[in-house]
Amino acid sequence: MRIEVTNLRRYFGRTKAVNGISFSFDSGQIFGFIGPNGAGKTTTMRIMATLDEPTYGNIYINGISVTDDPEKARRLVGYMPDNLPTHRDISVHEYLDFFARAYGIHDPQRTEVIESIEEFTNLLGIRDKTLKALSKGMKQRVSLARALVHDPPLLVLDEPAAGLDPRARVELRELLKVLAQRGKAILISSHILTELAEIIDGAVIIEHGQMVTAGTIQEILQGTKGAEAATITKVLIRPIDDIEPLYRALLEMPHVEEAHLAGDHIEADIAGDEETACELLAELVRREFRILEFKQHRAHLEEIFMNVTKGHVQ
Amino acid sequence: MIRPTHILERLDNRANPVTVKELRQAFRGGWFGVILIVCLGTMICLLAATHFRSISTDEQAIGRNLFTRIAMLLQVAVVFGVPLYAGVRMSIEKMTGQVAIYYMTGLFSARIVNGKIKSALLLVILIVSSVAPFGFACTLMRGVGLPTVAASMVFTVCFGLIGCIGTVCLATQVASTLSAIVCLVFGGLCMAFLLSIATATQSVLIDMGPIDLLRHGAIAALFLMMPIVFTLAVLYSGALLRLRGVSPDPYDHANASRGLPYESHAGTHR
Repeated sequence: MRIEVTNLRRYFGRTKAVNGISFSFDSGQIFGFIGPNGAGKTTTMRIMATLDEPTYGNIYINGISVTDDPEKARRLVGYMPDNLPTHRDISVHEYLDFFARAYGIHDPQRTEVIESIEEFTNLLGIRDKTLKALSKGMKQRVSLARALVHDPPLLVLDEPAAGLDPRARVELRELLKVLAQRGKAILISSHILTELAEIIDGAVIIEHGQMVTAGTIQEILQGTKGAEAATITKVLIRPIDDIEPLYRALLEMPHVEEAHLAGDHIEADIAGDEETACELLAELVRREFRILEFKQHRAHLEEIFMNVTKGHVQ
Repeated sequence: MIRPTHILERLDNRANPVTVKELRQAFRGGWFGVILIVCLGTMICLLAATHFRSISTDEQAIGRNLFTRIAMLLQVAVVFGVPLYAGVRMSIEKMTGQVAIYYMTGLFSARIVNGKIKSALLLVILIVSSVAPFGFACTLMRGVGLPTVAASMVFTVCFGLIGCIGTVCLATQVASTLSAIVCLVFGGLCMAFLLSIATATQSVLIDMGPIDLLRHGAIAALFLMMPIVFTLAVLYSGALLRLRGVSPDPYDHANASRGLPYESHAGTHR
């Protein structure tokens, strides 16, 4: 299944909340949707979830247009908004039962579906608790379970990790990985880029309603200024007295464009790929330098984000 | 052969999900329980007091006086309490954007509104049926007949239904705190008006009996019902139109409060 966003625009009067966004991703992929506040992430996600209509452009979910055939399209989407369920006097099980009924899942299948989802999202132990008695993390899990009730092939998750403690974040991350392995396409927005970096296969970065970059992480690294950071290699040596000879040796090496001493280690800018880095390490070992650590510093999602965005908010 | 469990399962599957959810929430929450307990508690106290009074008095209309009080209390609970509860619940779900999530399931405006009204009607019937034995007990005393009590219960349910339709439909118009206040004031005035009509009708019913009321008051009732039905039709249509539009994005509210031009365009129609 393929999700295609084509030249999506959403204008609110003079404000261009979304202005010509295009990207695509497939089943089994987790795609990060990154941008500063007010960049247009939620608007795009709401259009994908058929809760809003674009001014121009379209989103196709497995070839089904969200504007031309919203009834069909919304059956394929599980949407988890950033606001949590506010129903106070209802238990977790009853809440999920309501949505299963609303999706037209009839008993006895309904009972089986809800129980399997409760088990998957680890809600079995709290199924009889009312929503008002749950922590934010638990509510997020209930919200995710709700989005999964009709087994949609596409999950649209708006800030699912916001306000979660580290344990809940790790649990959510693991759940999303399993869902992706089960073939679901996942579009996830988050401000916690370090968390996002560990699970996403690709990302879309938007700012000011416009797309800055999109693609797999590798593609983004190659296509942005952030790629420069990917070649930095950190080298640690013991004994520390040998750092000067190592520094001089590195400067003489053909692929080393730049190197500088940074306290107890050297940071070298290597022109080339991983193979080049391997050869460089092998050469250093051949020259009998006692390398303690040789680490390629990959650009973080945060660095890429900071490089490609300007921090403007509409 | 069709087993009763199959029939129940089929009925359960056909039930409006919103009705099921609302009833579950009503029974789990404290509000409805309080209404019911206060109603029943007061009935028991009234009945006990009247019983002790009947021993020491020869008053001919003791049953009628008791029933008047019971009917009055029932009307406050059913024509005011339940509609207010239903309206508040609807407005909360509308304001917090939960209704928007319902659309994703394929639940459309008519089903949402109907589900809310049905659940409120069931609560009305539940309260009336729990109070009904006390009303019928009054016929064992003096001054009120079985047809009057039965007609009174039916009238109460009808007025309760009118109140519930009105408040649920009005609550769909709530989008901000200001509109909530406006709806609350307007709804409160309408409910006070409805309650006064209900009380007057009950009073006439108890005085004249159901047959005479129908004979003499049918035309007056028709004239009275026409504007009420018209208002309800307008409110219901307004509710369907309002819920057809996607509810505002929570982000839009945040942006609107910062003076960005989101507010006037929040929500499109589908």
